[in-house]
Amino acid sequence: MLRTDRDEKKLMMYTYLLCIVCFLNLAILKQPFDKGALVMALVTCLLIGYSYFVIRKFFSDGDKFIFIFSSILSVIGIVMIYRLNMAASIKQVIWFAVSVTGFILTVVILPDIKRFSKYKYIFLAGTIIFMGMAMVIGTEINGSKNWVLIGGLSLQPSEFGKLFFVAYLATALKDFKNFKELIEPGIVVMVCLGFMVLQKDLGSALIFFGISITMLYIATSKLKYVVTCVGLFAAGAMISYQLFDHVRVRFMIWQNPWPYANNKGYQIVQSLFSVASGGLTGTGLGLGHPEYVPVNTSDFIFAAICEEMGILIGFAIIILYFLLFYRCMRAAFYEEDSFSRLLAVGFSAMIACQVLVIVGGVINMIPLTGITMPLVSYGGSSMLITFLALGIIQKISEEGR
Amino acid sequence: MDLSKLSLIFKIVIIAIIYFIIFAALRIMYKDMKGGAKKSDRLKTFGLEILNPGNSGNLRKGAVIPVKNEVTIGRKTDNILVLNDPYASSYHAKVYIKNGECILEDLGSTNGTILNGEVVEHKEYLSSGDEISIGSISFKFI
Amino acid sequence: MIDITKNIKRVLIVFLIFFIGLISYITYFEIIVGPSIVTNASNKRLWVKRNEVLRGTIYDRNMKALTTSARIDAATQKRQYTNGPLFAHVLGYVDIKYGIAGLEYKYDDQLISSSIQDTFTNYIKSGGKTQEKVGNNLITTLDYNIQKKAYDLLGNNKGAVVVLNPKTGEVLALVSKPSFDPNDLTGTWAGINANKDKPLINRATAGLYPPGSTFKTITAISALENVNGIMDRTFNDAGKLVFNSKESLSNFNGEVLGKLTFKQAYVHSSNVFFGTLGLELGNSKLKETAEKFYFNSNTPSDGITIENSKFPSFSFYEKGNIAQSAIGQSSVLATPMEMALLTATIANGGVMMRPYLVKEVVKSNGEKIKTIEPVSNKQVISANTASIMKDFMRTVVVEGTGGNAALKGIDVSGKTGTADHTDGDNSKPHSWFIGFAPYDNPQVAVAVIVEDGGQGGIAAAKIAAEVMKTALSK
Repeated sequence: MLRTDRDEKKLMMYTYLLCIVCFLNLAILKQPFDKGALVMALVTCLLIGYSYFVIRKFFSDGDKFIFIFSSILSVIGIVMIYRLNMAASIKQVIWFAVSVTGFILTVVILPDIKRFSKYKYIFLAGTIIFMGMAMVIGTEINGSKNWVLIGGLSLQPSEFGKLFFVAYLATALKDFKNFKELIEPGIVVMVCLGFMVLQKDLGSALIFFGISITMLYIATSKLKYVVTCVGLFAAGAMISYQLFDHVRVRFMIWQNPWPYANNKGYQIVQSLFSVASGGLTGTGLGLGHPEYVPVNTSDFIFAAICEEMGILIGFAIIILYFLLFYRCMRAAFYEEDSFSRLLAVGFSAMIACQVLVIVGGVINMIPLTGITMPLVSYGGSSMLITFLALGIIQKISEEGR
Repeated sequence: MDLSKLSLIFKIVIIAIIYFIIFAALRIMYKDMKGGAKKSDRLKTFGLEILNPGNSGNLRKGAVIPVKNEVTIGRKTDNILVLNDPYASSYHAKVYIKNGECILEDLGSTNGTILNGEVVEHKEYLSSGDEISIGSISFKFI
Repeated sequence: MIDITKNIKRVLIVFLIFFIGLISYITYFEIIVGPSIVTNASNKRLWVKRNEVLRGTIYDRNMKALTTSARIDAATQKRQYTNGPLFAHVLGYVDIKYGIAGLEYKYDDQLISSSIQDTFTNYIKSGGKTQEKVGNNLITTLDYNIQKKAYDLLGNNKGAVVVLNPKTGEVLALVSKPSFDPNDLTGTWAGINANKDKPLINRATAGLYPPGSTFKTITAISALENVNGIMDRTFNDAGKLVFNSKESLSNFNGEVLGKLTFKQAYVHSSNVFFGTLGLELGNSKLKETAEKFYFNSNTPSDGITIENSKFPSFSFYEKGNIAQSAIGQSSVLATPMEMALLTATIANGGVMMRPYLVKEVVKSNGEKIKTIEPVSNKQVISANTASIMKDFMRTVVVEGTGGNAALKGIDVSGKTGTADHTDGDNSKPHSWFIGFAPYDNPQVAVAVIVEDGGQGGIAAAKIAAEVMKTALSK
């Protein structure tokens, strides 16, 4: 026990070091020493340290790496957001604190996961409500109509819907015996995808699809279902391409953004310039021009990071996400109960697919969609949901052997 | 000019730190995997430390018997923990893990099982530090 | 249970593949696509970089400043071209909205680079105040006087003038009309783009025209190299070359020139003679000679981009086309620069020098950084062939169609061209003149084209003469 203790302590030390060094870099950029940056560094380190301590002390059975990887990614995000927009950075730290609290509370309060497997229809209702909410009372921001404004906060109900969606699928698929059982979840999935397409949130549609086939495969271990689903998805994609203008536009811009560099393709073109200007090691924090990239604190934060910190850091972030994904899947590995297992797989896939979709979109490998990077991007609801999902996974990892 | 030199240093340091983190994490996880299932078990492993071996020749004071799934205790040799004590029944008790908790169950022994000075009715949850006595043999639950 | 474990492993591997794919794509993007898009005009970062440094000045060969740069604020500077439209095509422009073109584009990194050492020394000398960083200056090969003369002489006509130093390849003047005002792109851009005469095109290097009789020079060279005894040949020019019942080729105005030697045929520009010669040589030999002069391929140059001149391929039975191509018609197209290089090669004993625009790159304090030396592209024709052609071209001006190019006291040599064309609705042919002077030890080679100017011997020849006179009067 002690040996791994020391290694983990080393890991935490590195995390604090990273936080301090990055903020130090930001601090010396301003003419008189920027004390704000150091305050941020301190606050962030304290938050991480305290949370880690709580988790270790009281819940030392769960997977520790999940929290460490999450906090490293969050730190990178906070640093970059601070460089881009100081006010947003403070909000981000607050959301980080709230989310980590949510994480800990989830682990503490949530009773035995298995008990939730009975609430299939509640989950189903929740899914439909959240997915459909934005269509009824939503407003359109940045081209996708899935935001709801409450008070001064803007939230994306589809984010909450994601949690319910995974839970519902886990309950529906856990006792898989034959094909007939797939019809009901199948319809629900298609309805949700439809909602997403109608709300012009194509990225979420892609993510839901990714989650669904991953869970489907784990539940049934039959490749032919997966193939069928991919086929259905392709068919659906083609239909929506014919029907919907906004889908066509996205594809057109993806294939060749350069002719539209000043109007429709502006976002992706600026993002590509940003990434190309960074090179391997980046231009250095504060020395690049990520301010020319639109939406750089949330959707395009990866481009901004690649410009100023280099694509080596970009690679590192991708690797860290994969390691996080691996640790989350590992929780499912050791679990016996199929509901919990599916839940773990679902949430892991949720995070991994989100990363693939947004990074792929930002570098124009796949058409651009309006998704945030989990944990790194500026966005309270995104971070909160991600940490809640991680909390559930952490709880599951505690139960497994 | 000054700034760009410093920036260069910072850039390299930051990249180095992040990759150190990745490698350290990978190393830990690899060590994990080599240890195999042991790690996850160790997290969940409970143990019975022998306080008083009594007359059992096979028990030494201070030895710890790990509780993986279940430890059956009794005089018969097909128990996991064999007690050579006349007060112990053939299948005296068992300690097993359920839902992350460790439970001590008395299997209808003749002379009973004592937990922290009280007789175990049927089943009891075990907490760290609990003392279990069977005959003259006592263990501490860790 | 084991099944599920395997499943999870498989899922992990699938995702791993996706993540690795992501990393590979980023690498591919950064290394291969990256460098080419960073210079895209929409990339504001380059403009910021350009603005960090006060852009260097471009001078003509006699240190007359052709541009000025003044800083407006931390992020913008104003670039002025002292002579407005005069040098518009060759210098180009640099504008955040309209992009960057011409020499400004070719030597962009020199104009915005400043030595760190100098900035540091200036910093110390000025007592700690950060000094303006100034880019390097360019000294071009251009001569203001020659450029102005050529520009004025073209008047309201459309066309181009190219003036080269045949011994070194230096571009002394590069004029294209119609021109535009690079000092007021914002105000005139719409007009420029709507103008059907397309003023943005640099006609000197990118305008493709049928060369007309000036191409007979190449046909003559081809004959000298491929046809034995061509120098002693005589020919009876009956005014018309008939191919079949429908097609024929005649001299200008149907003139009958009678008995001609090879030299006389060139001097009096006999279409019939050269058409027949073209048939005798065949398309492949003609093409071969043309391609030696860089027709159909990229001409090595520095500081300018030259459009490829085109010489077509015909089958042996396309007699009409082959004959026409030998006299510079049919689908033969040449840039004025190409014809100037042809002339310069002949003037330089058969060696074509690489045309270049920038002589020296100097630091803002005058210190030389780089000197560009003349470089030979290749020996295109033998010195003997070149001297024969020199003689022919001298006789053109003395006795032949190029009389209007003659100057007092200077031996001018050249060739006229009257090129029929189908551009636009004007029925007048283009007026060409290519020439060099003086005869002994040529110092200057020119090519002039006046679009729709009529006979080459009139409009273009007169302009060429005046331009050469200005060039030689030093």
